[in-house]
Amino acid sequence: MNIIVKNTNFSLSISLTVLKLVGFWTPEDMQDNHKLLYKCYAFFSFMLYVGIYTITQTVDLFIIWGNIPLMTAAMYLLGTSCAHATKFFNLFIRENMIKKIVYSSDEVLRSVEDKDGKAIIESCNRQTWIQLLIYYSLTLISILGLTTSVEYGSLPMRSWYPYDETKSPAYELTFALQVYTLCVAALLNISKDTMATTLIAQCHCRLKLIGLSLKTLCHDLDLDKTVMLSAGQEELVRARLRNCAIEHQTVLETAVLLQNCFSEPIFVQFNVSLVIICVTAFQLVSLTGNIVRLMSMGTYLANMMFQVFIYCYQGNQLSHESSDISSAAYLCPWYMMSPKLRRDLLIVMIRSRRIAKITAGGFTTLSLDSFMAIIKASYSLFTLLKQVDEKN
Amino acid sequence: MMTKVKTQGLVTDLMPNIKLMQAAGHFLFNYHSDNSGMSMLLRKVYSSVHAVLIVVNYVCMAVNMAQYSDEVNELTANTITVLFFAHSIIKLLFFALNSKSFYRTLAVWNQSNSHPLFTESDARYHQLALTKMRRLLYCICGVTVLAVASWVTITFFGESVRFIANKETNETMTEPAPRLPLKAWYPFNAMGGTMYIVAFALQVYWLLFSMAIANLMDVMFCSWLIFACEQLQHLKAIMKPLMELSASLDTYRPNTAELFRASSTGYNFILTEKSEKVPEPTDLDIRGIYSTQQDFGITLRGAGGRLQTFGQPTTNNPNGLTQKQEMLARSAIKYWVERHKHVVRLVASIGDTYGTALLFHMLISTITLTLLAYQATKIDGVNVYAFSTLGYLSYTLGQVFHFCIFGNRLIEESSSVMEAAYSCQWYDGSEEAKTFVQIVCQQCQKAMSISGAKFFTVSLDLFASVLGAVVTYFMVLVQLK
Repeated sequence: MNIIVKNTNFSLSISLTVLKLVGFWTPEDMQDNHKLLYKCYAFFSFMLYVGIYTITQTVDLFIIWGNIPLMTAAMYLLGTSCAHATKFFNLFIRENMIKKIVYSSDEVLRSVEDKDGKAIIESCNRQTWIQLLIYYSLTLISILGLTTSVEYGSLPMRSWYPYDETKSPAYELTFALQVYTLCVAALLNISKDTMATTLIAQCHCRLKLIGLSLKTLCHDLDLDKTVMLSAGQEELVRARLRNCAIEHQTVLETAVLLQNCFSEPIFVQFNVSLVIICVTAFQLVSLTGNIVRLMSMGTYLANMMFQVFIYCYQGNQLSHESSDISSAAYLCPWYMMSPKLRRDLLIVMIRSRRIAKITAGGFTTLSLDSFMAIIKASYSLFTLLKQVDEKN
Repeated sequence: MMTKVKTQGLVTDLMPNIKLMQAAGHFLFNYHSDNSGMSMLLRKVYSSVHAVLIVVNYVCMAVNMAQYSDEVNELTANTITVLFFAHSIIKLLFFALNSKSFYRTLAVWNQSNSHPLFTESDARYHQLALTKMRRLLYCICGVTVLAVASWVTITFFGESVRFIANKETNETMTEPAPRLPLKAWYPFNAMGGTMYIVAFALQVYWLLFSMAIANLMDVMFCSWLIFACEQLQHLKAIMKPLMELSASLDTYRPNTAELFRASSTGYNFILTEKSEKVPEPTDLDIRGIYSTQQDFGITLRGAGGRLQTFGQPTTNNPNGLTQKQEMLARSAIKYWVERHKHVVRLVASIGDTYGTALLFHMLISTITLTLLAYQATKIDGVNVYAFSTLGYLSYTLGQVFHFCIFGNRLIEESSSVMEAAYSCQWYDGSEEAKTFVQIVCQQCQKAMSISGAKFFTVSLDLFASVLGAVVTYFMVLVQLK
């Protein structure tokens, strides 16, 4: 049984492999009774990395209710695990739909043969790889900072345990457990976010390829001696245009599927990020002593902003590329085509005027504008929180 | 000293601007006639010396700001000055790092297509663009000189002091400072004597050159936009005769002979048989009718470019057009579309080159304007403080307004092409004419705009939001006092 999930996109294959190892990406060649075992393994992983911690944190939150600095210290990781849990549920329920999207995109991208097309796919891969690297390094730095900045005797994350965790062997074990679960949970979070954003990136890569084929509709036809296309040339161009239109339809369907699969987790993620960014900023401002902790909180803040940013950036790219189809169609020498063929081209142009967009739960579109709006909203919440704290 | 350098396209039009930028110390080393090693070295030395002087003085100002950062008013005033001149440093660096991109944009219009029926209109709008670009350049140069002059003049009014916070009593005291245009830390004592005159001269030079560096780059950006807008005007102007030409291909028209004439006024262009641009009627050589050095994507290969006849030597044209006239009509459409695509390429290139610089400009201007709004609440009468705050404010807003207005014009021009396409008599036209109008309308619905690295669009909306934010901030602060 193959461990690594193969895909034309390197970051996607890494993320899917991680998910497979934890139990959330059923291997293809598994028998049915094994699949049930696999699902149980998935449930166990979920409880270990996210479930137990969420429950203990919630109990702890009720205990310290009313004390704002302590509450913010607890909330900034609780919120993350809530979003995390939503994503897990989503993946569990919609696994088949997501698999369909992954395999169909992969098939299309594998079948590209010409040089320019390959260059486009290459640059898309590079972009997602850089994104993954930045995400990994930010997470690594924040975890390192978080775990090394605690004094001996206290744990990295406040939590309620049914036993006394300050005594000697229990303390070391709990510490090790927290660090381990933290690392793996962060890795899983990265993998799920990368999976969603890379699928969106592959969508806009496919749109770019369609744009390329529209630009080169009259490619290597002998054009310099004519002002209009001959009948034979028209047939050829019509066939090429037909293929472009079919692929365009497929990509737009995929974008709708992506919207259905990922809209709710993105919405939860955005809400949580909004609260967490303002809470982390508040923590950052009220924390003075520990420099390492300060830096790790700063990196954590950057991490949370980056998480929102990648969704907004990829969504923005998708919308931008989908409206670029029209401009790409304009770039071919359409004035050489007969009116009949021009009308076919026109229908493609008209459709691409309505952009393909991904929304977060139907409320906001993923775009750089909504990213700026989220940052501004967090900042307002942060100033409000400061005012409330100063009054107390 | 310098022989006339052979240039084409945008470089010819923008030569005064380029020469001024070279004089101001930008790292612009192309477009000289004499490219020998010695003169190149001299030019590089010249630019580096300017760059070093400008950066050193800027660092001195920053040191001064750090030194006297205890007192809030002093700190705010120094921060505003430092941010104000950050534009110049950033633009100098930006050009040095991005010069290839600038050269590429300047070279975009080197090879442009032409058509015998439309050369006169092309030349007219090109001349218009040239006039507007020159006028803008003179205007901005005048404003820069005026700004420097008023800055130097205002130095001699008011008290030449700086504010210090007395740590024990927590009051602000004043301490005498050199009467110089800018507050900066110098390693020598600039209070009086020869060192004072040296520092004064240095600062006047510095003011002039740093403002020139920032403004000249903005002027170049706006000149590109003016050029693109005038090209779009040209395309709109030739839309009507183009539609009539296209309609004459398969619909009966009474005065088709008029269409093939080119004159100096109006829509009709007379194309005489004796004009050297027109080949013999029997010579159906496409190169004589439609000339372009580099037909975008379609190259004129050998074999003389002879016309390929499709088995029918005579056309079933209701107007009895000769084959040559039919070629002229069809190639007119090709000219229009290819020229429009060329303009789209130019605008895309401008956006790629200057977008990031605009983003930095807007970021710094936002912070500066916020601080200036705070300073403006402390104006208590007609004095030096009031004049200098208002001066800073109007200059910063003016800079933002400068590129917003041209960006807005581009948006308006490019979306009005669709209206021009609709307003000609398409209902009398051929199927070809109608599909031409359809495709052009589709394409021009989305306006061409310049964006600041995709974060914002340069338009008057941007300026209005900036101005609105400043006014709101000012009002809120006044209330809080």
